[in-house]
Amino acid sequence: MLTYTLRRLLYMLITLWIIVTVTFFLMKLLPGDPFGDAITRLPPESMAILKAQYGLDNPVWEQYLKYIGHVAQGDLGVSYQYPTRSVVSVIKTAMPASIELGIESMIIAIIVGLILGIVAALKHNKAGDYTASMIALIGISIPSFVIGPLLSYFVGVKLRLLPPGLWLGPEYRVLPAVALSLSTIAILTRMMRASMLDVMNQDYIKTAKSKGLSTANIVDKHMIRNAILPVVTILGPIAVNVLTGTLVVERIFSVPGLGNQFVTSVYSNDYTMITGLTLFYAGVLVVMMFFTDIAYSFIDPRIRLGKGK
Amino acid sequence: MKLRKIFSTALVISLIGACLAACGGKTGSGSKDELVINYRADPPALDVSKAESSAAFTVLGAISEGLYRLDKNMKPQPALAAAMPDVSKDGLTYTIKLRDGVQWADGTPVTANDFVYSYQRTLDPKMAATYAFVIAWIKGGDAVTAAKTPADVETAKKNLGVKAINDKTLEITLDHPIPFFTSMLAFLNFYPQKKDFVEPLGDKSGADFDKVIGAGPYKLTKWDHDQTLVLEKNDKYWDKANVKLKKITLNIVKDTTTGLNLYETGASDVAEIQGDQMTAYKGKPDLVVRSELTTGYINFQFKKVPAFANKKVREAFSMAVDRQALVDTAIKNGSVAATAYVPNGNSDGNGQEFRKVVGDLIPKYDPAKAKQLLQDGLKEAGLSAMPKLSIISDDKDTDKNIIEFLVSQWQQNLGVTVEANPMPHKNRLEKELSKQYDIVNTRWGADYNDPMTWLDMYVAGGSFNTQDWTGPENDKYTKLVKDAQIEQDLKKRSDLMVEAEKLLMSESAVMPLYFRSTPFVVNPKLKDMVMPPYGPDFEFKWAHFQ
Repeated sequence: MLTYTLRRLLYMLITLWIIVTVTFFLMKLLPGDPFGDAITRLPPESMAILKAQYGLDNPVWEQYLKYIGHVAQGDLGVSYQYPTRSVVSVIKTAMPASIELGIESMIIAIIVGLILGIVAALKHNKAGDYTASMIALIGISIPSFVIGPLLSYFVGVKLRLLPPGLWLGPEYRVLPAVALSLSTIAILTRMMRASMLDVMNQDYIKTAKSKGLSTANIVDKHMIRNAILPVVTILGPIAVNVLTGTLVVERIFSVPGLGNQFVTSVYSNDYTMITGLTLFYAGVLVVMMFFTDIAYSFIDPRIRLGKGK
Repeated sequence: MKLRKIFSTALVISLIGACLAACGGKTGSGSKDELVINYRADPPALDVSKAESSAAFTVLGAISEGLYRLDKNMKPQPALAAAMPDVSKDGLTYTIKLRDGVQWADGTPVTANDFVYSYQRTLDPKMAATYAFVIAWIKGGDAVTAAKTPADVETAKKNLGVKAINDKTLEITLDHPIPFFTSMLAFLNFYPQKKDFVEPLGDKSGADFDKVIGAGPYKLTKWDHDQTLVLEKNDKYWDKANVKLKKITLNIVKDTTTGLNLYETGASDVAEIQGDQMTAYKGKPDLVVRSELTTGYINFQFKKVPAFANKKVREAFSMAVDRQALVDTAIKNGSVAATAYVPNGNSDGNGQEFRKVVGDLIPKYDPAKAKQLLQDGLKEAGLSAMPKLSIISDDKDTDKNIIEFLVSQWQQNLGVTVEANPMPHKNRLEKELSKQYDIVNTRWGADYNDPMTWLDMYVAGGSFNTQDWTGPENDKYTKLVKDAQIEQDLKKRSDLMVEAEKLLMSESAVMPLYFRSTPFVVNPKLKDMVMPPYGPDFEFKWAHFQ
């Protein structure tokens, strides 16, 4: 088990290193200047000083080595668009909103998704099934950049039920969380439905029925409990899915989170910010996969032994 | 099983949450002394030396002040200064008395030395301040920015033409007379800076609400980055009797659709909108179109495309575009068709509007004549046809609409095929400044309200003369502009600039398209909030609710 964990840890570090390297050099290939419109007004001498301050006057490989060194010490550099703020401090400021939004949308998605999935399976090939499947289909096929503005307009402006944007009190959380949860609901509904149907055809369900157990008892004790296991294992990857969803949803609802920040940074060629955020996102993803792998290996020893995948 | 417990707890919590949410009160801005606006960007450093964006200008303009403040007619009014400056006969020396009792938000007095420190700091090469060039109009300014060693910098700073004669009197000596310099003293980069506040902060100056200090109508009391800035009335302000608002909240909203939704629900009093969102507000009092000192124009690269070195060819391209149709169908945000290069509303430096003095200089839209001109021009240049051309541009929706419109007009009216090539803003800027284009769709906004901010761009060797306009006409143009720069008689100076623009346009050296506007929706009850045509987006000092 220890060797397995260590090996996964090593893979994780290598993955992160590759990501840093690729992002760093891709940024260097980007056309345009990170100083933006300042270059139209600054004399060349001042530009040179500015470039020196950011270390851009050194050869690219030297910039790269320096950057890697700083990253290893947890320093992601200074943002170009906010010269007074370090990338780490921007991430620290923006992270809580994103995490909160992510958790809230996960909770909504799990509750709604599982219920829909269970209903669909129990009403297999009946109206309930079709309704749930339809909801899942809609959830997966309408992107959040369409559903977000629609929710903001209809619930926010037309019905005046909830604020159409911003991130101030608890009521401001609902719409973005719902918008972000839809595609996850869809995935969970379909997984739960399939998993339930699978379980329902098992012999032990027939046994339970023939023993004379009540339907509620069978569903609760035998079906859901068994069906939910495969669904639980995909929660890790789903959390990653939610994380990337924040890119769109945060901007639409003016949530001051990482996704919103990421989009702004891309628009303004903020090299250090883009590299830093990419690394951060990748880091979260890789760590999550690391723990999923470890968790799998606990559940299923075959993985640990390196057989099958 | 534990799982079920977790789920049921979560379910209950979220249901309660949703109920609370639905029943929760709305935060509006109904109160009479609190203004809530959507703002499009989190300001970078709120530092007087480093400020370069309209976001920084807007917020710093509210929390601090210069010697003068521009009123709603863009006329400088004494602010930290007690009166208009005493200007020496040669127009070089400005002597300015500070108003009695002016103080920083912490209660310490504002002195003439705060201005001296500010200008020296901005010019310091270490700061690499974008707007150092305007401070460098002060005598000896260029010597500071060009100084190589720290010792040189200190010497150059001592020789800079700005002196505190005493705590209350400031003397500024210019390198050459600048007729609009009093207005410049209202510009953000001429604000004072409090040395013992700024210095200890180092490069964190202006990073947070407690790392910036001003002497203006409001103070910054909260700054949640990328979310909210809160300005509250500054009771140490000399003119606090005329500041009516108690609080201004700027919510950072980057998406205009959401911004408009917030406005619709009353959660915001001011929202910037897009052209296509204007239709719903046509004829309503909410719609306010701010016309800016910004011109959208086209440049042709003379060297890369030799045909463009021919004046008739350029004229043909310009005459083949129906600018009225362009603003009506492609831009649709209240921008107006350009009638020359310097935009409407820009001063002539002599008390009048430049555009009214010069008149219209753009030839009428005339496809038939344009076609003829193109043929004549090609013949003159010894060419049989135009080469394959491309037009580069920003990739914003408006810009894409503009180039699509141009491409179709040139195709239809001249039979010339031009490929549209939109790209990210910085990418376009880099290609433009390095002259890697055939045709570029670009724009310029005034740095100060004088024709010179426009006309000095195309002098021989200027970094914005990216089209490589050279030859005898450009020599003549350069002389007119350089003469105007040193001319002290305001009337003569204005005449020289009039001549220069006429030459620029008769040569079709640039092809102006439109004078830009930005539409907003504004609570009709909000009065006297100025939306200046350049510099800051909003001037809050006199804003109040009816």
